Amino acid sequence: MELHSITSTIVNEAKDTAQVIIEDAQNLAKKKIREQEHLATKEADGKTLALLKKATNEAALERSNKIANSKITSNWIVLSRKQEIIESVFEEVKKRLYKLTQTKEYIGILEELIVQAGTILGGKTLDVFLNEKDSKLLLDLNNLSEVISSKTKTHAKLNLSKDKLSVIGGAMLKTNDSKFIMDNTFDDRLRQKENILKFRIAEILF
Amino acid sequence: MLRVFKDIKEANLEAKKILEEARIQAQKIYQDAEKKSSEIYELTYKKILMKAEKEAKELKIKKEKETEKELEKIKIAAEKTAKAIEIKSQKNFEKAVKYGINTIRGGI
Repeated sequence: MELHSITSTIVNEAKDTAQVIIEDAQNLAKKKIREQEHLATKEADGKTLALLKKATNEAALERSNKIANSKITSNWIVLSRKQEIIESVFEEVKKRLYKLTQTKEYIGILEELIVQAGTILGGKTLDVFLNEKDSKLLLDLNNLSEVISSKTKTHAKLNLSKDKLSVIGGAMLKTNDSKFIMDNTFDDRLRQKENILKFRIAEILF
Repeated sequence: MLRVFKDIKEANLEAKKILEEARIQAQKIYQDAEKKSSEIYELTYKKILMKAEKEAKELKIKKEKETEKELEKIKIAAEKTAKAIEIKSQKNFEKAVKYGINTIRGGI
């Protein structure tokens, strides 16, 4: 082999080896990049799943809360509407009771309410409390006293009180010593029966 | 003969230099790759995560819209029930009032 050929071979082999070294480095570099890209994708995919799961759970929880609140509101709407209707019946009852106090029939009803209350109190001397309008009615208290006396087998005496009640109608009776009161006004009867009345009215209405 | 050795020695030196340069270049390629791969990791991770966040946001919006539709249905149903109650109560209103008056009158 000639000298030139020997030196060329040495240099060319070195160049070839250098080429291989560079190509290996390039391949390694590409591999490294691919690996990192793959790793990033894998880790981000895991995070993606977690994110989507969290979003799904949050949305489900929010939906559940909103639906529950909406159902409560809906029930409240229905119940409050029912309550309004029951109240309107109550108001109408009061209006009709007031109209009743303006009829001829009312005097008989008032007398019966006085006798009822007087009988429950057991007769004796009783003060009768009425509203301003009813106080002007021509009530025969002596006759009513006799009816109570006959029912209670005692001597009953009714006195119309000067004090006036602020009520729709009916009467309140008080024993002379003020120890016992029998409130037989429409207003008190309404108050006492309010709960059971509302319950029954609801049954009739709905 | 001396010249032969000298030329071979020079060729060897050149070869050595070529190899050394190749190693330096390879080292640089690898270092660049290290840096680039780190950037690519960040970029890829961020890109996928941004997409995921967008998907999650869209999912929530979609679910919210579905919920709104459900809420509207519940509201309509409640209004319908309230209306039905109103109609039924109108039919029985007079009966209820009469019952109230009779109860207060207590048979008087």
